[in-house]
Amino acid sequence: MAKGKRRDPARGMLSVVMLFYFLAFMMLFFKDGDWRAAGLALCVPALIFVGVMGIPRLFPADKLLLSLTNFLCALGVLVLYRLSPERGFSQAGNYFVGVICMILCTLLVRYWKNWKPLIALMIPAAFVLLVLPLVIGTEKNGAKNWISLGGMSMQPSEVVKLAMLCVTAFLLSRRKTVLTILFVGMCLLILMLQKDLGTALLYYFVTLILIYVSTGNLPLIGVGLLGGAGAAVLGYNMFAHVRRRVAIWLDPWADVDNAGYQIVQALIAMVNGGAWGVGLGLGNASVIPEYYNDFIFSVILHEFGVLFGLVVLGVYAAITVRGVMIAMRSRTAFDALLSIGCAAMIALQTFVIVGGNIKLIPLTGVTLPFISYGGTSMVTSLCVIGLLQGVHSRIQAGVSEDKMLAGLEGGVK
Amino acid sequence: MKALRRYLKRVTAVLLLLFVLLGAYGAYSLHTYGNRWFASNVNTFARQKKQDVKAGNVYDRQGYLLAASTDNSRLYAEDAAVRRAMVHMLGDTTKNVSNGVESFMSVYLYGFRATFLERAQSYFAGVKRTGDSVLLTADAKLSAYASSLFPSGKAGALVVMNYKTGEVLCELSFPQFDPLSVTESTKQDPQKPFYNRAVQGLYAPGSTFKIVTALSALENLPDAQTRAFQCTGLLQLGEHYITDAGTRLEENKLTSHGQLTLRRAFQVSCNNTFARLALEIGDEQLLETAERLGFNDNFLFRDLVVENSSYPLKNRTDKEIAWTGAGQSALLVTPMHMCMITSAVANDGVMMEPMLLSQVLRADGQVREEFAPRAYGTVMTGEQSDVLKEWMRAVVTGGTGTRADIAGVQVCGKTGSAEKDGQEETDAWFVGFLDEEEAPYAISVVVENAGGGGSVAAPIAKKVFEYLLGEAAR
Amino acid sequence: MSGGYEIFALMMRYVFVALGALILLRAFLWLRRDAGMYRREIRNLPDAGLVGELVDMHTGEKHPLCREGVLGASRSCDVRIKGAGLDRRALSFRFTEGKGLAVTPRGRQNVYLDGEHVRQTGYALHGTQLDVGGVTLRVRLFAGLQVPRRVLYDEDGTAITDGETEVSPFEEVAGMFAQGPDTEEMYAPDDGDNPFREFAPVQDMYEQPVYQPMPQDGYMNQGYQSAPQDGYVNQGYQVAPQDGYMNQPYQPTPQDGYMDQGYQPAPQDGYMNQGYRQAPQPENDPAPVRHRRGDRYL
Repeated sequence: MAKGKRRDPARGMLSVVMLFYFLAFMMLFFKDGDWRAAGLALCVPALIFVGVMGIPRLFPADKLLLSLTNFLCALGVLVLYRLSPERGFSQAGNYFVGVICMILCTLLVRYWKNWKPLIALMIPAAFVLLVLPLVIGTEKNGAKNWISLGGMSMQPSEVVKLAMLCVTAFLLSRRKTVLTILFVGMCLLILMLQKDLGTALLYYFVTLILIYVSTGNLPLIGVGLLGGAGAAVLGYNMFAHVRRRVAIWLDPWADVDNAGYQIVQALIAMVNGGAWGVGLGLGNASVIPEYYNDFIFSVILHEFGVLFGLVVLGVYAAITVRGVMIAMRSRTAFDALLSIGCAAMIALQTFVIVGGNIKLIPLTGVTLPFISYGGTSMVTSLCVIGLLQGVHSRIQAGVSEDKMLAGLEGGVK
Repeated sequence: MKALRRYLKRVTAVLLLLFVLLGAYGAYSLHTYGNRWFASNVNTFARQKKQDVKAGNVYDRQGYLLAASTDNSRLYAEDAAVRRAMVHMLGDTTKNVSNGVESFMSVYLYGFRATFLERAQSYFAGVKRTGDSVLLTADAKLSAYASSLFPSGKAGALVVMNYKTGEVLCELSFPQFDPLSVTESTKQDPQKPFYNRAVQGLYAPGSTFKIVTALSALENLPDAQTRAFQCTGLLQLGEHYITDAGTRLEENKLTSHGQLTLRRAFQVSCNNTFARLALEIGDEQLLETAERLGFNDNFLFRDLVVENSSYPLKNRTDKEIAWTGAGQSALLVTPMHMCMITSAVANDGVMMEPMLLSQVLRADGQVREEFAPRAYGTVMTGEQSDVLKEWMRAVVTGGTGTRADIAGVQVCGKTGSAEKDGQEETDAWFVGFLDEEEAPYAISVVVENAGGGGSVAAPIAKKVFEYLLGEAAR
Repeated sequence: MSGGYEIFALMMRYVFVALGALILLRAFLWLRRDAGMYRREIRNLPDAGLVGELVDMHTGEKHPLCREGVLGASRSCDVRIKGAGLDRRALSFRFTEGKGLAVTPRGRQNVYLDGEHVRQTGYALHGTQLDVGGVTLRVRLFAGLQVPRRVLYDEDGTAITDGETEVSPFEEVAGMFAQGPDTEEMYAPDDGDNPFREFAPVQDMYEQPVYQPMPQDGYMNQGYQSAPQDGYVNQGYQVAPQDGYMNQPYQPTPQDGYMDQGYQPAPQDGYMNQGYRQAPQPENDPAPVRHRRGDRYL
């Protein structure tokens, strides 16, 4: 068919993305005359090209997902480089590790046939990883969810996210709803003990979504929501820092210089940016504490403007839609649940942190997927995409198998 | 799988809705709070950028220059009286007064609205950029005149607005100070001269709140206009007594108004009747009316930052409800809000948003933005406003507010004498308006710790009205 | 900071937003295009995502069988059988590589596989008879799927097997890394000597006429398979090139009244010379089929 012979849409997309980063890094080069920026202006587009066109040749992968995630990852590198070049380079390193992990996840989902023992292994591993920070963890921003191992620090609750997605999808595809609730309930309990409420919120809503998709049991979801609301009230009364967060959210201006400082500065940065932004390299977003992590979206709003912020949200929405498309095409419940879980995880995480940035909801310490600075976050987000890619390639394999059996096209691949 | 896919579609809708929600809320908050956040003291970015720009001028409605910039300093009006009168409305660069025009309009004054082309133009021309000039609706001469009327040494506020458009002509706070000579003693003054009482001062409205109670009565009691009320001068609620002005329990002195209509009770400002009325109407209905008039609302006006007025919500005893009807008991309003309520009565029930900014001019004199009046809402029907107008007219012709009366002019008003704990005298209130087609002005005056509203505040209002009528006749 | 850079950066803001909008637009078009292409692809593959069919033994109705799903009377069921007194959700099934179709009862109605009561989970294979709530269904799986052969028992209780019966555990592990169907274990077709006995006949007048056994025909057990000697034997659905079917694999030949009339026996002489024929099947070992009705969601 003529339509099938049309140009690869990846090329059109990539040319825009590459132009974007070339211009952006060249601008930073003009600004400071730093040759590293000029290097990045060439390297980043080249890497994006290799990442999007090369990986699908070697491993099963979806180019659309790849190009969108690469766009976001490179945006993170750009913004971080602009504010502190060291973080930018370190983030680029995280990206490499992330891509490798993503490929591993893709291969796992694509070729692993017998999930039962794997899941049986994942459940205790998840618990151990979650409990670890309580034992040897360090506190960061009120939540005790980091562990340091030999100079490297990581956030186990991020990694457990992957296991949680797989386990929940598997158990629910086997209609083991009660077991799922028990498993996630335990995870949530441990997360509450770590005071890592943002992640707990994510686990909670993703599980609710998965339970709804697999059972369609609205009363159960209602009970779950009530339980969640109860837990929220309980948490509000039990933890002082939750109360503080909510108070800041309700009125950050009450204590502009201390408690409300972060969010107020983030809001002001957004307003200063306005629709079009203040211009790349012209902002002063580094006055926001944690600008590289929790508030990176505010930095983007500041320098690139609200319209560009909407574009970034649109890209996240496109990734979500892609995830849902993959879920709709899945042939088994496990595949469908896994992919909708991944899509929901990314969508919700974006919502929670962007909502926190613009004061729609109280700020919780989750990261903006693909963009926020941090190895664990980057690796996990890319792994989630890897899981989606795995399911996608399974669907592709199924379709080509169908084609082969129908004698339409010659065999697989 | 079939059912699963169906549920999946629903979940997708929810997920995408989240993104829409983010975008919508972001746009909403930028639109409603944007300028407030931008004008905040902690906006370091704007503070840095201001260095590169020469701030624009501020003019009053007659084109009188209120503030201008030289290359390195900010100048204020030459006339000291004007300077002092406008200081609260304008604020100053040191931000002693919060949310004055100088800071709240800084997005215009410091040229943040300049387009890319304008910026490029000034860059290539090699000149320092000049910010936009703003034209205010305020009247500097009137402000200076009104300031001179205010009893010296007293704290208080005076607001004049055009009730048809919401244009604010005067926004005065007392005591005033000269922005060019802010001394240590100004800062330590116990009367806090930096405090803009017109929009930030929260006062007990006293009897001026009876406008609200009367409106609620008109809405909720069908026979409110015809019924005969009995004032005994004293209303016992448990151990507590609601007293009228002039009643001194300890001296066994009782002032009672006897049998009277609501109109008469309004005219003579009978606490007893209005307390009974409040109890009869009930707290919920009264609250509903008050909230419609803007109590407990988060005011987000375009040009002005007005403190929120409050009507207490919780733990209401009969005593408190009764006192609320008479305008006491934890009720708090700003003079600006009281002026808005009066304006709504005058403007056939349509409450206008106070507006301060009429135009923004570019450095080359072209109009960048022009602003139209905005209505806050229709808060009462035309009939109700006619009744209230007539009652307020009666207050001036033969009630507590006779000292505001001007021969041959429809002056309407309501006095108030609000008690405040730890204060010898009451706060004197007068709110009123000119029911004249060519001079549609409403006023709200409050003089702290000064005595009765009829004797202290009403004469000030009268003189302001006379001035406005004189101006209108010219 | 030089003013020149500032003006440049201010100008570039618009470029960046424009590029961003373009990226979004491209993503949207790509998504739409991909969805359209996939839809077209699936429309050309009516069997996509299916593993076989369930044939109602009473009515002869054929229900496409997807990989996983629910069978019942409800509208949300993947296999919906109305008006037979079935539970809204009678059972759920999941095709498991190497094991067959795992059947799990979900309603109150008893589920029988080949007459055996299923309590937890039972595995149905090609040819298995599935009884639930008064409905009798014949499971027919496509050839080329990795499933064990159905094993039947002699009257005296000994199992009658046919070559490799089940996939060994070793093969199962190896299968985890199998890529595509090339390396998948296909099950060998029978070469005419049908080892299966006749299944205990259900005394139902509708049952027998649906599938007329034609034991004398060597083709019978291999529905779409072409003759063994042409080398295609091991590849389920492949049709011999010479039979002209390659170009329209799923189009029923007009002269072939078979496809639409549910396994009516063809005239004995006719079908041998026609390329793509549906051979009538013995009742207890129907040939693997491929469906015309695809999963419309896919």
